[in-house]
Amino acid sequence: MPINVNLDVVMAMRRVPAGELANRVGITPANLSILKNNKAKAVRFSTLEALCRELKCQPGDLLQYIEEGDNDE
Amino acid sequence: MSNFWDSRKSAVLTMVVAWLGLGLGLAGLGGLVPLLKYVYRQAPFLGESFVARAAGPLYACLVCGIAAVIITLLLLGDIRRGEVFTATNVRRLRLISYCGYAITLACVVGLIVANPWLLFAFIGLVAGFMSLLMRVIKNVIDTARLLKEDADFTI
Repeated sequence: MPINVNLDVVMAMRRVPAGELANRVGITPANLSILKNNKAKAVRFSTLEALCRELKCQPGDLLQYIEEGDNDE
Repeated sequence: MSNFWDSRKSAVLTMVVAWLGLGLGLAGLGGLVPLLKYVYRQAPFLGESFVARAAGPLYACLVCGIAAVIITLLLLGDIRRGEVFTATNVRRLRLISYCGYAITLACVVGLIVANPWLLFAFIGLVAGFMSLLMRVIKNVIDTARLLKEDADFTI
């Protein structure tokens, strides 16, 4: 999928465990896992806002556009 | 009165009707030939080979009908468990429509080889139309399944 979710990278940088982040953002750990593993089909702005607030980052830190066929990340 | 009926009771009623249909179908398997012999005795103008010619297509219709009812019961079981918009149910609806088309095909054979042709024409047309409706319902459920999948994976 062209949109890559770098949530695990930012979580590691901020040293926030998945369970705690899910709780603070207001989603289930299962949904957080779906997001981290690039299986999500859409993200609500409210969820994105909560993630940026808790991880103290910008949406661009979490979401990356990779053109199909582009091997450089 | 408006509070008495709900979707759970409706599903139970549908189950009951489906089980009744299955019972009738199974009874029909055992009682078809005696019934055809009785009809021939009442209407000898149908011809001596009436029972032999009509039994084959009618048995085929019964078997396909019983298969459709069994698949419907499986589908209803899933619906009662809350599993509605699934790939399995889409497959089941497709199979039910195929059973209907098989009944139509059996009736085409019956039209050609057996008397009275009007009976087979009627059954065949009804089965074909119901199969078309099932195909439409299958398409609707499949679209709903895709929409649900999108919603389930919207975080």
